[in-house]
Amino acid sequence: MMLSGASMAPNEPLIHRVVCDAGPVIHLAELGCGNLFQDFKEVLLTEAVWNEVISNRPSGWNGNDLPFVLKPDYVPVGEELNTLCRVFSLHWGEVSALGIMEKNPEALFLTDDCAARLVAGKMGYNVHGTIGILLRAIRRELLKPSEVLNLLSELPQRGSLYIRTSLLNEIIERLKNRFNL
Amino acid sequence: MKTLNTQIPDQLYNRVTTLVKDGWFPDENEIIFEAIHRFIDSHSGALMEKYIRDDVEWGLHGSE
Repeated sequence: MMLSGASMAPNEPLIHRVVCDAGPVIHLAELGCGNLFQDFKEVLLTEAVWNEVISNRPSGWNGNDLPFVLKPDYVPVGEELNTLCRVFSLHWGEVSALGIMEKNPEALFLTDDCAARLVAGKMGYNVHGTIGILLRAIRRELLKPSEVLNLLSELPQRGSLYIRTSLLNEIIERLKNRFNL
Repeated sequence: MKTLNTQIPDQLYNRVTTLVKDGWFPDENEIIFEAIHRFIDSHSGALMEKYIRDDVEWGLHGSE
């Protein structure tokens, strides 16, 4: 791995503020890639999200060296966002994270939950998930293409993020072709 | 109609029964039906696949 501790970022962060749902934190930790969060200046996590992370994190992982900023849970005040959260029956962690997004609409929102992503997209937020962060690591020169390829290949065994096998294989093949692996 | 046997946490079940007692739903079955329906609507395979593909494009070629 190219990553090692706090000195991993080869370039200045392009994205300064991230608001994260529990999924990407848990999934990247499961893959041993929590350090990818160091490429952001601050990653805002609500208490509800952090509690979910603590309940589902890999044993021994604590995220101490990551730029996590714990924020109080926050209920969205905007009528549209509030209604969408209820219509799609989002969990409290997702609702509170979107509440923080409402106050920081320029931030990148990270979630692997389809409904939360749907709501974030409807609100016009920039939103991505674990797969995006993994592949971004190549573009940002944080991981070698071969390392990301290995991580994707190991995803079904090492992680709780579920991706349809044929789609995962398609992504792996695309990486192989793109980087002559 | 299929019959599902499943277990849910007591706290969640209490919230279901409260909605019925308060008169918002005719019975517990209606709430379970509605909840599953909404979940499936917002988690379609096509939508999940689109998001993953968007992530791949952004990851490899995004300009942040």
